Amino acid sequence: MEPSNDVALDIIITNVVSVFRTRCHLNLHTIGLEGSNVIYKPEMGKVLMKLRKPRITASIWSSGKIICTGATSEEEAKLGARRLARCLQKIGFKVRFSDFKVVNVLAVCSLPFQIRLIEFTKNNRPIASYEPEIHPAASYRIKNLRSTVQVFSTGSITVTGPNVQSVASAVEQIYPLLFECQKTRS
Amino acid sequence: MMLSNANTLPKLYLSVIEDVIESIRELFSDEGVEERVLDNLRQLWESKVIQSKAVEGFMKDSNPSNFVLQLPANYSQSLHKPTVVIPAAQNVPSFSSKPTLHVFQSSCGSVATFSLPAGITYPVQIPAGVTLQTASGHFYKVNVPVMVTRGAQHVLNPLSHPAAVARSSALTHLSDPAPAASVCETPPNRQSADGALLSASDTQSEFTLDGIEFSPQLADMSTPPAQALCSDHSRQQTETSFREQSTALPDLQTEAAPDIKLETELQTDLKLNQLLDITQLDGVADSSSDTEEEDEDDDDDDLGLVGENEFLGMINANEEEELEEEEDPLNSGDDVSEQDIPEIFDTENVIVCQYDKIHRSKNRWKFYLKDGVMCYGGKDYVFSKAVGEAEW
Repeated sequence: MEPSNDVALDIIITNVVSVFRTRCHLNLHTIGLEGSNVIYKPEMGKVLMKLRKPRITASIWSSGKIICTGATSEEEAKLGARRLARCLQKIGFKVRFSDFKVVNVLAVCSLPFQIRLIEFTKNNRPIASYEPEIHPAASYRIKNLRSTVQVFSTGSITVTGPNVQSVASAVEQIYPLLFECQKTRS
Repeated sequence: MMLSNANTLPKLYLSVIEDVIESIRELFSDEGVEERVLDNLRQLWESKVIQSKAVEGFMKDSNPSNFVLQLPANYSQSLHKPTVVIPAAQNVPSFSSKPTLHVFQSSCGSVATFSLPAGITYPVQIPAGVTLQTASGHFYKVNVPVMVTRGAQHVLNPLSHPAAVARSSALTHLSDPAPAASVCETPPNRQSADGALLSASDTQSEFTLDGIEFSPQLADMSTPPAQALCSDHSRQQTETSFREQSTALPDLQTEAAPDIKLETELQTDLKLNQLLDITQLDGVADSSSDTEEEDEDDDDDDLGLVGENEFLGMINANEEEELEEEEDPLNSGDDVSEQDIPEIFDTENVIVCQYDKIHRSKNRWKFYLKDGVMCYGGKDYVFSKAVGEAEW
C-alpha cells in the first residue's frame, strides 16, 4: 500500500490569534465603564472585550496593544479586529488601526488511522519528541515552517503555526510520516 | 412565591423611609430647614412610591380586615381622624387578600368608576371625610358619607353637577340590596343628574360610588385644571370640618411648589458652598475643544516612544509608509460596520445589589448575588440572596 497523496483531509481551523495597535493610549477604566460587553480586570491591567459577530475576544492594554483571539479564519480575524477598533473609536479614543498581524493559527485534523507514537518518535528522532509521562502526544516541530504538530495516538493531530498556509503545509508534510507508523499494520 | 415579598415589602419600604426621615431630621433642623419641609419630603416620597406601582398594598394603617383606603398619614393634621374601619353594624367581610380600590378614569378625566374585587360583601359604608387613594395614586376625598352597594354601573360626573356639592351631610342609606339597586345618596337629585347610565351590570364586582366628590389632591399634579375645579367645589361646602380640609388642601397645593423650590435651592446652595474653594477648570471653563483632547494629553506622556517608532517607520521605506497609511482607513467607518445588535436591551428592569461571586466559563455566566433590590416589570422585589445563570 502506497500512501496516496490525494487524501482529502479536513483541516479545521479552530483559533486565529492576531494583534494590532491603536497607536494611542487607552483608558481602561473608561472602556470598562462605557464599553459594552467588556470585562475589566484591573489586577491584570487589561480589559477583555467580546464581540458576537465574528465571535472574538480581545485583550486590550492601556498601551494600545490589542490581542484578538477566537476567530476562525484570517479574514475574520482582521474584520473582528477592525470592528473592535471601531468600538473603541466610538467610545472616544483616537484609534488608528495599525500593525495588524496574525500571530498564531490553531487547526485540528482527524486522521483516519491510529498511530504508533513510539515508532513515530524513533523514526523522526531529533524533530519529534515524546514524553508520555508529561503529555500524551508526540510533538513534531517543523523549523522552516515555524509550525508545531502534536500527534495523538488516536490519529487526531493539532497544528499551530504563524499563518494558515504554514499550517496546511505542515499537515501535508507530516501526513506521510504518520502514515508510515499507523496502527493498522501488525 | 412573590406573595411573601408583597406582604413584607411595603413595611420594609416604610421602615426605610422612616429611618431616613428620622436620621435627617436633625440635619435639617441644623440647617435651619423647617419641619414642614421634612414632612413634605416624606409625603412626596411616599406618594411617588405609590405612584410608581412598584409596591403593592403600600398602606399606612395596616388593618387587613378593612378595605384599603390608603390614607396618607401626613394628612392627619388636616383631617379629623377619619374612620377607616367599616362600622361593626355592617357585615365586615374578612378578606384574604387586600382589596384595593381601583379607579378608572375615562378620557375626559372628570368621570370615575370605582371597582372593588369580588370578595366584598355589600353594603359597605364609607363615612364622611375619608380620603380614598386609588391604585394609581390619585387621592379622592369623600366629602359626603355614602353607602355603597352592588348595583348597576353608573358613571359619575361630579364636575358637571355642581348641585351635588351643596348636598347635605346626612347619611343616606340604601335599604334594598337588590342587585339592580344602584348606589346613590340623595336618590332623586343624583339619579336624575346622572350622566350616561351604563346599564351593563354584568360585572357584578363593579359599582359606582355616587355622591363622592372628587378632589384630586396634590399627589396627582398631572391634572391641574381638574384640581382647581375640584378645589373650588370643595370650598363651597358648608360643613365646617370639610372646610378645614378643603382650605388645607389648596394650601398644601400652593405650598408644594414653593417647598420643592426651597429644597432644590438648598441643595444647590450646599453644592456651591462645597465648591467655593476649588476653581473649576473643566466644563464651561474648559479651553480644549472636545473630549478627544484627553487622549492627546495621555499621548503626550508616551509620545516620545510612539513618536520614535513612527519616525523610524517613516524613515525606512516609502513602501512602508504607504502600508501604514493603507492600514489606517479605519476612519472611514463605513466598511468597518458597526455592531448591528447593539442596544436590544435598554430596559427598565434593573437589579441593584452586592455580589458574592460572578463567574464565567466561555460564554456561560453564573451570578451569586446578595442584598439587593430588583425592579422587574415595574414591580420591586427585595432579596437577600439571588442566584442567576445566563448565556451571552
